[in-house]
Amino acid sequence: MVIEMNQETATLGKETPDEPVIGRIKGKTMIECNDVSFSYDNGKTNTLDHISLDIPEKQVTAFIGPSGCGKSTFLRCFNRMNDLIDSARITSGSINIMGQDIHAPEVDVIELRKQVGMVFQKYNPFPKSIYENVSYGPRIQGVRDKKELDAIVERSLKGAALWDEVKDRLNSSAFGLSGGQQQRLCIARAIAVQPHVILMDEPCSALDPIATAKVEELIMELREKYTIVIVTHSMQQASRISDNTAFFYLGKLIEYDTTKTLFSTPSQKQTEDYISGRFG
Amino acid sequence: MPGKHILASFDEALTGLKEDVLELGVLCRSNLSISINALLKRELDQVAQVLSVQDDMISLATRIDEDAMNLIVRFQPVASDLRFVLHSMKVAANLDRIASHVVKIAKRTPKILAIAEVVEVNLLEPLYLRADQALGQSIVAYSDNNPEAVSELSEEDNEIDKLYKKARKTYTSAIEDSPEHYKELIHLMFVARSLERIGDHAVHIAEILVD
Amino acid sequence: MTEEPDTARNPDASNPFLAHKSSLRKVEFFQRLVLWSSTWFVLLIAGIIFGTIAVRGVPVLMKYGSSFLTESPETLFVLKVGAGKTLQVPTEDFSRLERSNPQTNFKDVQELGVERARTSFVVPEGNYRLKVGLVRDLEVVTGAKFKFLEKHENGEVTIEVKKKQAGVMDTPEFTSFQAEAPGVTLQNPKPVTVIDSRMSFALGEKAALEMPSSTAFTIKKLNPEALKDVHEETHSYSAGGVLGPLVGTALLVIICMVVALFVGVAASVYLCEYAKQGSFLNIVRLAILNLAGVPSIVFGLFGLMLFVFLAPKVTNVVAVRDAIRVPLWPSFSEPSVRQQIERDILVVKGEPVKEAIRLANSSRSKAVWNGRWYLSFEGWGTCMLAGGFTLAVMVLPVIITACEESLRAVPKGYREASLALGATKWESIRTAVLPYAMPGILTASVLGITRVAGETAPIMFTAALAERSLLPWEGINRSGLGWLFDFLSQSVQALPYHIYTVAARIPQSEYTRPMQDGAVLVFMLFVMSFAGLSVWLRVRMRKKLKW
Repeated sequence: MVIEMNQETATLGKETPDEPVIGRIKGKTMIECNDVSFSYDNGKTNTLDHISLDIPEKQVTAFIGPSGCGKSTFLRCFNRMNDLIDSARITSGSINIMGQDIHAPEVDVIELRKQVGMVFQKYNPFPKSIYENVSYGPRIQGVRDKKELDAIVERSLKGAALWDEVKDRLNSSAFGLSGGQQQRLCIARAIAVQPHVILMDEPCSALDPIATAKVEELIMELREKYTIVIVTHSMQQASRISDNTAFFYLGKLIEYDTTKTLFSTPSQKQTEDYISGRFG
Repeated sequence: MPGKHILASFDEALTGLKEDVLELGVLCRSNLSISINALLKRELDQVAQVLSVQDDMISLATRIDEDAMNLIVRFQPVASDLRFVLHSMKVAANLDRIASHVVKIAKRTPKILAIAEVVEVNLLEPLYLRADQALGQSIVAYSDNNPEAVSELSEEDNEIDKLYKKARKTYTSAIEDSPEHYKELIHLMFVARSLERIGDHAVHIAEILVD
Repeated sequence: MTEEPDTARNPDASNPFLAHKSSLRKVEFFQRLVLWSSTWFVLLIAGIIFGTIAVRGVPVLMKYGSSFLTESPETLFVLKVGAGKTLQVPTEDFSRLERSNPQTNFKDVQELGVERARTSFVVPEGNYRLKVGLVRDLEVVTGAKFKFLEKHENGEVTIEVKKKQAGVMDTPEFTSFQAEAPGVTLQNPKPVTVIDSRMSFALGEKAALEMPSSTAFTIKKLNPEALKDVHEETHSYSAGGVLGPLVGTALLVIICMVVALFVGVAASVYLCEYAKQGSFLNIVRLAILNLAGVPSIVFGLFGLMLFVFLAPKVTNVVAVRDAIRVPLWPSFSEPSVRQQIERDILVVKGEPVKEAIRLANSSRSKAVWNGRWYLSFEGWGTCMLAGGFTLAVMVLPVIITACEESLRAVPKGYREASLALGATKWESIRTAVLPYAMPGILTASVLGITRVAGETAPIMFTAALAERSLLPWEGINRSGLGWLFDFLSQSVQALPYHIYTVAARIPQSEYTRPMQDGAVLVFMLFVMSFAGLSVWLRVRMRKKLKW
């Protein structure tokens, strides 16, 4: 079943999928996934099952689904963080970012990770100063000039809506910030290397509501320059900040549509049951 | 609603809301029946019963509104659950209007019974039966969440309108013919009008169910 | 309120939180008692050990003062001198005598100035042939180094004096020098009088004077008649201090630390971060852990075999011993004649190695040069390098285990965050993991190293000497990189070995025991300062890294 989305309304049938759901979008695509299957144990069991969807450029796409459905796994495929696990691999299909298959042998994983950044669930600034945290990425890439680093740090902190709060204590420890500020610091650290895509794995789950709101506002602003893919457990968050939402269950993509449609008139019963709190 | 919510209190709240709305509907219908019967059979004491429960109906309608709001705040329903809650609120609003019409009929009945009987009163019976049927159908449609009922109910309403127009014509000409009964006939006309409005509200209820 | 009087009279009435007497609480109490007494048991034992060491060692340090730490071990002479005889000694020796014999009554102490006849002279330019020992004396008195030109059979050597040198000698020596080296004409002999400051004294009553061997030789030389029949006792290692062993131990510990930390951290980074986890790796880890169970004497023998006899070195001067040698590039510079004499090298150009060694054997040389550089597996000999490496191998299991634990304790999030920013694996380990594992690594390492600092068996075979008068950096005659090689090939004294020697290998007396106690106390202070250093380092690093 092919879903054609033209960003306003979706024309959907109300069938349960026996074939895998395919989500295609009109307009510029940043990440294209074709029939992707993924396994943690060398192909014995598939954690992700034939997933095809497109992530549009400069929009926020949310992945929702119950625990263990594979959304975080899928997210980590985009910057090949799953390569760190020996027995994990893509067992079928391909992932193309900006038109390039990221598992091709000529692709350098380090370069990929510079352009596809990641923010983690548990904020983890390095035990260094705020300045050193944000300048870590550029320094790794070889930027040595202090003036340039200063400019990058200022730009990133401003982009993360943190500059005003920390501009006069850049050399103090990152651990002196509150939880929400530390997470925004991690976001600043990620955007300091100017990636094209920012992947966020439940960035607000460790934060209080006010900090969450600030991070959500930040995500709305970042949308103008970066493509954002966010995994979230909170459906309210997904409905607040995302443009498109994909619902996963047990490793399969169940539904992928604009957020407005998916939350008000979902086409799949499973989706409806999940978002209404009937299971999962 | 298909399937149970994990949060049992969510299901209980939704069920409670539905039962309240249905109760309000049933109250409207039974009180309407009592009022009309009292009018047709000229039994005054029944009317007092209706008047005694009018506050209950109003407070039930208010309670439905509050419960619906609380449900939204507490459980943030989405999709079909949200639609159900909004429907319930609108249906209750319509039932509230129906209830006020029922009360108006009840209040008018003693005045009618105080005056001598007029044969034109019998015109009210078919009108009432239709209106009652429409009301019943609309309540069932809400209970079943059946948007298809709208077409049937529109037809019913058309019939009610026709009956109403006929009754009005009959009453106006009756006033011209025997002006000494004008008081009763005017009352009867108002009652007929209330019954017609009840029919309209029943159709509105069905229309609400169509998204 | 009416309830209060009730609770006063009957407290059980309204208090819902009363403690229940149960057997579980008794068990709890006894458990706490056991824990408390275990702790205090340990503290008691520690207190007894440290207390005994302090009580026995502190008086020794008080008696000898800082000289205990700044002088090397010497033999103690005890001369039983009668009353009344007047004796002369140089002033510094007199202060030593006073310090070592605080109870003795020194009478008639007078300062003397004794004239010493010296002769100043000039060594003219030219080439001279004389015995090697005389050359050394000449170098000492003129302060110059002469180039050796040619070696001769009878222990003589021809030297070159490029520029004329001035020198001064005591007149008797001058005369004997001229007699023994007729070939060297010393010009411009001028008498120079020097006044030695001496102290003369006598003893109020008969006393046993303690003095280190250097003072004893001096006093006997200056007062031959007065001390002719005096009764003397000698006690080895009972004078002077522990400077030599202290320096030796410090050097061994430093070498051990450098080698062990480098190898240990590198190995554990590999095991923890790079290697594929699995059963093979578990076997490897088991093997490393088993290394910790090897007895220290086995390490000593192993070090002896591996580092002293079999370790590779790149050299053009090959030891006279059979070993595997891999020829490298040719050597174009013969060792200088001085080197040949000092290191007993036979020069045979062009001979194959085996023949060269046979020749060297027959001429009783220690080494041979045959015009080629070799990678020679002839061992490093007994030296601090071999000792340091042996100790390093001993402490490796501790460091590898501690390092692995520290690396594992660094949260995974740091590695992931670093990798997600586009760092390579090594970069992220170096900048985001190792710095935060460092406090743990250093703490455990320093504690492990202080343990091996006290090992005697390994260094006994590989590095240590019982007696050595020069400090390791004294007496080396090469320069630059050669100095470093020679320095590292020195044998050293070591504190644990010194303690062993003083306690077990020499006859015990009332004089040797205080030296033991003093040495033990110094060693404990050494270890404590290391432990204190580790604590300080850890606190500093923790604060800096803001864990």
